[in-house]
Amino acid sequence: MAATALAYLMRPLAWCLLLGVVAWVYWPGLDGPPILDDASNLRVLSKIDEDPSYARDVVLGNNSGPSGRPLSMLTFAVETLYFDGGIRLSKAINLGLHLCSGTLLMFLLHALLVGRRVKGGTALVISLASIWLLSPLFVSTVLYPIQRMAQLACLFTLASLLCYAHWRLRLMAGKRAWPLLALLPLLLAAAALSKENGLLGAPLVVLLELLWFQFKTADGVAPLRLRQGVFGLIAVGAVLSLLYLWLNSALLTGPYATREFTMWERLLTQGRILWDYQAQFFWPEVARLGVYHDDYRFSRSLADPRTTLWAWLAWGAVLLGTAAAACYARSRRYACAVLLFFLGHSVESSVLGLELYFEHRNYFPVLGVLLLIGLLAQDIGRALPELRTLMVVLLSLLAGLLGLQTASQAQIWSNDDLIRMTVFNGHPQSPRANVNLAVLLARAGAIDEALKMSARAGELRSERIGDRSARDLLLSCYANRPLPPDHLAQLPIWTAKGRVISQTNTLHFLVLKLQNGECPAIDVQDIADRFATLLLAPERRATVTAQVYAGLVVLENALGGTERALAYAEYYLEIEPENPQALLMRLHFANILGNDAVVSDSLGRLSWLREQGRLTREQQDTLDLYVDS
Amino acid sequence: MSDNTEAESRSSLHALHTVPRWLPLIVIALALLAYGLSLEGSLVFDTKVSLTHNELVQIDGRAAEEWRAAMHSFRGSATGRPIAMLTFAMNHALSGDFVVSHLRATNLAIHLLNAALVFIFLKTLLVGAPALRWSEARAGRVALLAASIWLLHPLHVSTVFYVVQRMAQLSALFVLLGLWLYCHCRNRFSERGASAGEVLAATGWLGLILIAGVFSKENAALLVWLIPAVEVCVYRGRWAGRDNAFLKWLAVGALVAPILVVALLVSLDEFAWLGGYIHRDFTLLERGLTQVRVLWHYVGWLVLPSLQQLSLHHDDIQLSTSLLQPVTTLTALLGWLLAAGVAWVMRGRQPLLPLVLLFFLVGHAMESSILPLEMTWEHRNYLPSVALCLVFAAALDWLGTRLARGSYLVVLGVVLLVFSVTLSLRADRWSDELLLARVNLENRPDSLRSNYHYANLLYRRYVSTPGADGQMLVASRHYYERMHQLDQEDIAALVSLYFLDQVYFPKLAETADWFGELENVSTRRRFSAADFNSLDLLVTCLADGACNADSDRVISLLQLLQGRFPYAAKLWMLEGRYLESLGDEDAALDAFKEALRRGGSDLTPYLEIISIYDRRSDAGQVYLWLSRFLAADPPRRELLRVKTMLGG
Repeated sequence: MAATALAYLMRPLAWCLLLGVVAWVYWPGLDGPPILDDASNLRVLSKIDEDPSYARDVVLGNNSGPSGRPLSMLTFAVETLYFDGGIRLSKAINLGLHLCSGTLLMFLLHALLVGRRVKGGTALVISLASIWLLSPLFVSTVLYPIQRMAQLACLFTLASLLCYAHWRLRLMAGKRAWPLLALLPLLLAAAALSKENGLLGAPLVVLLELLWFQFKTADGVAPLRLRQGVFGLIAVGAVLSLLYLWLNSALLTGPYATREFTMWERLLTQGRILWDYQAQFFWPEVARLGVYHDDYRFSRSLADPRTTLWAWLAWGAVLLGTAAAACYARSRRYACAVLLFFLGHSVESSVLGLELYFEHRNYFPVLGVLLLIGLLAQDIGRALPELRTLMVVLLSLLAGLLGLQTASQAQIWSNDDLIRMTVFNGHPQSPRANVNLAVLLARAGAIDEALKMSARAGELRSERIGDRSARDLLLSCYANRPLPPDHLAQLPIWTAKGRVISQTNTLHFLVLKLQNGECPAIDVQDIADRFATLLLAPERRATVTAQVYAGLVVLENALGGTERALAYAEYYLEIEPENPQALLMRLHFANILGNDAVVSDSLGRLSWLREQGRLTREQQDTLDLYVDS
Repeated sequence: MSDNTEAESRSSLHALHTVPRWLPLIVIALALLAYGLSLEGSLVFDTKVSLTHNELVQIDGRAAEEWRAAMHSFRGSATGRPIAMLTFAMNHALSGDFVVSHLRATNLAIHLLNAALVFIFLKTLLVGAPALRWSEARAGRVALLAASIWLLHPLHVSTVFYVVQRMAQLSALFVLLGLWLYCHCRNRFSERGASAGEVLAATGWLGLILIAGVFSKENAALLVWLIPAVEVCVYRGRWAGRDNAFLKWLAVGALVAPILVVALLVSLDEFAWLGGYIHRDFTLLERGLTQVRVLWHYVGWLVLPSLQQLSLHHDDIQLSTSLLQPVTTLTALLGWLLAAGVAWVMRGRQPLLPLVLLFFLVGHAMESSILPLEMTWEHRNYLPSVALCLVFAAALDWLGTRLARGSYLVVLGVVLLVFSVTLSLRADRWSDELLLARVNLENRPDSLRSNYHYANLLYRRYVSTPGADGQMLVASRHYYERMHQLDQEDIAALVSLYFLDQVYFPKLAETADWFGELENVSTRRRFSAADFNSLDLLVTCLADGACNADSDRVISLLQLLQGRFPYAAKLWMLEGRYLESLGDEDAALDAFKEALRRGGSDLTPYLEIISIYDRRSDAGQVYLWLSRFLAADPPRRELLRVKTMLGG
């Protein structure tokens, strides 16, 4: 009796111990810096510090995806409103979410692999979940605060699947558990509102029913309503998806306009990348791990590089095997595991014109691979029971080894300089990694070395002529050293034509720094004059993006160049005629200059936008200042 | 008559000669007493390089990364021996420092565990192997005696108390575990066969044990050779109650295969396997011939362990340059051939004989054959000695069948007492480093290492003891000079004498031109790794200003050696350090960069370069070189150091 009780206690204890180890391994990484687009996405949080009533703007105002990802932004807003622990807290919350997701994953694997049987399989499930929890591939998800969006989508998707699996297990046992089913839509909605690929929750549930549970019930007769529900969902989902894509076809083709690759090339490349993800998950080449994979060579055809052909042949074999497995009830679960992986990757690793490679894209889909291994291990264990313990030990050892590598990754992610150096070492051909190291060198005052790195980055990618110029100016600002006179005068941007800058962030940062007086070594007025000559001259030769115009408005405002600011605002509006920010800028500067016609026009357009509900709370407050006056 | 029926027919005799039940307790108590009273002491020889000079293993264990780096911190082998290093890191984390008694206590615990494994392995083998099939009682008795003798054998003091040899202990642990598992499974398989699952499971577990062993020390790879040796000698292809010819010949093939595989590997990349001979003052043939004699030395020390023979160092054993030089080489070879012949002839009646011979020789195959390692180390017998202990135990047991119980117990008691007392005396010598060094020197007066150890220890005591007797320093110099007399070209002796005379005996320095001798010797001597290390002392002394030599001569000496040994990156490293001490940082930078170009696993030049740029406040170069430093360290051993340099 006592031994049984002890055995019963051992499992939760072992799991808690494992979670403790994972937290211990990740802990140093909490001291790390914001990463990549953390700054641009989370900058808005400062508004909440200024006025908590702007929290709504923050939650609903994110534009990194079509849905605005309000649930994810809500967590950031709550974090800022009530705790204000800075980036460390954000990372700690991400770590907490990782542990929660790991626990859900363990329960889901348990529900699917072990079912309602209490004995056997738990050790296997724990070892599989520990591989997921300790994989270094996910350091760039957990310690990259904005990837909380991917984490939350995964968490709620796992919760949805778990909820459904438990409902089905109860149904198979002849019991009813409708509250579980009622919870399902809420969880699916939460997943979708965290990040768009959370929308996959519903198809995943359908997949689970079709190929895992296979409409089986206690009496062996599938309820008609269940079948109707599943096939109905498939039909509705297919129609809605096609309709959405038809109405928003630009979603598919638009992003490719700014990419170096075509949709076909992206698809070809994903064949190789999906294999690379597997290798990096199970036996990572840690030097390559990180957020920069812009050096990944894309496939131009099946033979260029040749590994494309092998990769797709291998995937073809996998898909054939999956199709064959789906034909037989006994092997259908294998097909389910494989398709779960593909479905999990279907949004970000297929036709959409996103960047080629990101590690966080595996955060949910590897569940399919783990499920596959679990199924294999179970079937081998059934046929050869002597191998059960050995398999669990091997999987646990793998988890331990991965955990050691994660410890090393977490240390790297705890220090900005270390990240920049190791990323450069792992990706010497990555333009971004070169730029990153250039920033590090510039911050250390080594402007010459930084400029060399910047030049190298320019050689490694096709960039617009002004991008490097803006970058060099920003580096000069970081270094607090003026650019060599020749270098500044000869920057190709000043004589360029057409669209001169595509890297909006660089110029945006530069402008922010110039505006804040953080570049004492740079003659800000001189730079502003040069931009004015470039962009505002009557025979205007060069153009920039809307965001760059917005930045220049801010710069001129700081320098007191009201007329130029208004001119930039007009150009900004040319590109985005209904942009409230541009209209407010125009209104502000026209008001200073006493241009009543422009003021009146701007007020009219802004009022219309307000009536349409397209102004944020902050924008409405700003508009009210002018209306009241 | 088979051994089985023989055993049954003698059951009445055996009943008379059962080993006392309390024998294991007595033996363990004796071992604990002998070793336990001498746990204090010092870390000797290369333990310092692996532990006290290795910052990576000195962890408090708060960060997971510390453990990972500690596991990767051993650079002296292909695998890095992470499991052994992990145990050292545990010692440090638990004790807060490397406390010798704690380190030795851990080794002692492993030794006791190994003795238990020797017992269960031998018992399982003797009971179940088809060629043996001894009764449970007899097998248990012999296994217990063998394990007891092995546990109390004084030869193993230089493994248990030589802390870094925990690597050999752990390697032996996994090999013994693997052999036990093999015998355990084979006993069942030979009787009733096995399912595919059982065979796969056994293979899988053996594979895991093998990996764990190899990650403790590479010679655990011998498990894959010892298993066929056991199979060929005593299982003989028996499967499901029948002789299986395929299995039998498979085992014979597996026994021969390692020789062919090694021959093939050597022929494919001779330099990788035998390149180390360029650092040795003996050739492959000379090593092979000498080992034939050395193996007999080992047998002698195991059979008749004498306190006058055993020593930390045995580098004074004469080199065999041909079969007749010395003539004992030929007799030793004939002796091994004779032993092999006897084992072959007796393989039917006494199947243990070929097993014991093969076990001993295969156990020595990695460190006592073609690899360009040093000639003789006692710890190399840690695993192979199990075979001789088995012979000893079997002989004692045979005696038991011929003697009355009382007489047998007396004999047993005397044997154990002799081993215990010898063990205790030897362990006591290891409790004080000065005593150990002196005894080693008394036992091995012609050993360069023993002379160096004693001289160096006297010097260190002189330096570390305030108001120390000058005689200690004089004695130290005496033994360095003795080294020089034994080998006029020994670099360590020349450098040490130069250093001592320059710093402490300036008048002697006027008469003896050690630096000049060093220059002469450098034109012809084949430098070993130890010789290069000795140059460290020279350059440190010169860089500190304690020694005074013409800088042109120093640079010329280093350049001479660079010309002779262009692969030795360390020489450029030394040149850089010396140039840096002269204030020529640009030239030093060039030398350090050249050291990096010359290759090698030493990352110190990076740190020197970074240090120079840091002094120059050239932050850009500091970051660039830090980045290169990280790139040159794929196992990320130095990650935490770099993080600290970056300010946490």
